Amino acid sequence: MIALHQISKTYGSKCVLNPIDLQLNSGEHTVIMGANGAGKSTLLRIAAQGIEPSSGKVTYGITQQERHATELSKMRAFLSQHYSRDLNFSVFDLVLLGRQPFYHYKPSQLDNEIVIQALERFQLMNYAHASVNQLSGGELQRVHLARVYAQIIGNETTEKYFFMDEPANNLDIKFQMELFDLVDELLSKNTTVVSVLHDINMALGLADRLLFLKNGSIAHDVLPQDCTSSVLEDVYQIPFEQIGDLHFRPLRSVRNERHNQLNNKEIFSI
Amino acid sequence: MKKKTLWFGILGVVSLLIVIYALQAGMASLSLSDLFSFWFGDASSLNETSLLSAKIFTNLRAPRIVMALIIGASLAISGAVLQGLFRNPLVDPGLIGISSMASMFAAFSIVFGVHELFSASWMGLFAQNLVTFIGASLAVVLAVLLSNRNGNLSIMTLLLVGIALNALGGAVTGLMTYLSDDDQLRNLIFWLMGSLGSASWIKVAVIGAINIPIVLYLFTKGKILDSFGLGEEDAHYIGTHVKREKMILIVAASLIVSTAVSISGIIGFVGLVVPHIVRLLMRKNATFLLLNSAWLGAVLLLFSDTLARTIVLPKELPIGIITSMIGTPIFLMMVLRNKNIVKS
Repeated sequence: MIALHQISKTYGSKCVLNPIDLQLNSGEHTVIMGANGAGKSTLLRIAAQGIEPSSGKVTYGITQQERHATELSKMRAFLSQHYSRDLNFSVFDLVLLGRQPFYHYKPSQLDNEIVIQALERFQLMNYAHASVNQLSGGELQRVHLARVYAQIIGNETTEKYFFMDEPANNLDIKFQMELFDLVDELLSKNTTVVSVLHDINMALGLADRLLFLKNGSIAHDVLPQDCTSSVLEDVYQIPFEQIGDLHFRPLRSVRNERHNQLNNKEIFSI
Repeated sequence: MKKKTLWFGILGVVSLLIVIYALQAGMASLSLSDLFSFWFGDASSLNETSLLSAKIFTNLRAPRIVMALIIGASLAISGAVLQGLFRNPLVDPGLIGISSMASMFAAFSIVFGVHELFSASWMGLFAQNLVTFIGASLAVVLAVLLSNRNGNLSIMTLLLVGIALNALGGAVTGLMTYLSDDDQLRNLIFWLMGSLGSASWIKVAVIGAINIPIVLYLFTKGKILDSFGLGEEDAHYIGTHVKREKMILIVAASLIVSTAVSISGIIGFVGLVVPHIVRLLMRKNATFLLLNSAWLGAVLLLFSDTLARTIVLPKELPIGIITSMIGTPIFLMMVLRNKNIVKS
């Protein structure tokens, strides 16, 4: 469980997040959504303690403690969307970075075993000694997925936090499913999972709770089944239609007008 | 595994050969037995030439060799640390302005005879080094202070401050060169291109006392440098104290370069090239890079210095000329062989 107490964030004179009080529950997948610049990533990174809020504090667990960075790195992992390929690492060494919180100078036998387990799980064994800078974007994302897995899976604490910022972007459909399997596995172990996703329908399928941000504030805090076209229209400022259970489609007015025009022309030509 | 063993074997043998060559090369040739009787037996049994040779060896050549090893290791490991921290393979220790501020102070002190102020006391021996060290440290302090944002160093500002300090240092050094007379100019050139000619056991003791512990300490920072490879925020997510470690690493890496520069003058290329050579030879983690950069840097500088003092006997060349002449072709060759290393 994560509690945000009056969190706000300003960059220079620009206010990115207005003061927010929020509780993120364990065993629950909260998905943060919103238009560009609404403050989604900022909120996510503050909850993960990757950046410091301008005001307010973040506490973890039922006892609501403020966690030290070292302590937190043993129970929290963060998967971003962009990683530099310009690294002089082998795939194995990069995944081993995920074990850094658990060893002092030299990785233990257990650390190496967990890395191998991670490589196997995401079918990277054949690449283990390849250089990271030779991988494709999707392969690189998988390596980082394995790294994050190695960090979050090994430690048997009761308290775990997993964050993802647009994690599925570079992954093909198979590894997207692998990622979601991992999320389910973590949820079943009572992990607090928070992510930022752009794909509305993917979010509806994965989330236990949806947070819609608008101009740095939480505009809607809903369960997936309570999400309606009007909520989406308010957040994204375009019309939506619902096409079936938990499935929405944006309506594209320009295209529709063009279609109408084409249809009219056809009528005239007849 | 096999490749690693082979690499250590080759480097070990080559280092040993270079040390042996450096020990015996030079104007004064001497036999081992002469040396042993100078050290342990009665020196009076030696004839005049052997005695002089033994003295040259003990008081000039030996400290110079140790000095070359310490400075070479310091420059190379400092380059490896800063390149890792800045995530930029083109960084060398001079980039944040250490060398140019050091040369500015050195040039000033040479031309205006600042060191003569102290010549009466024991300080006279170190005055030039001390003035230079102050210049180098000033660069570090300025760079760190100006790029500090709430305890977090902005790498970009650090580099920009470095550019400004380099421009200032270059201008003042140029002015001093213009104002200098022939003797001063010669002195200045040796300083600007580096020389280990002033090595003595006292200076070895001073630089050793500062640099050796710091180099050993930096060996333990491989894990931290690896984490910085992910970028600062992701390094934080895997438990690195980003602000603190950045400050420690920058100050430690700069300090050993400052002491080196204040004793040997500017020796270019070692800090930039040696980590690259290690990286191109083998892709491994940062601990490997740090250890091998220090080792290779030490050996490379010793080799260069030995050439510098023997190639134009009885004179000697500034060592910077040699390091650049050896370093450039090796570096270019390796870059061309591994084009994909420098992409993006």
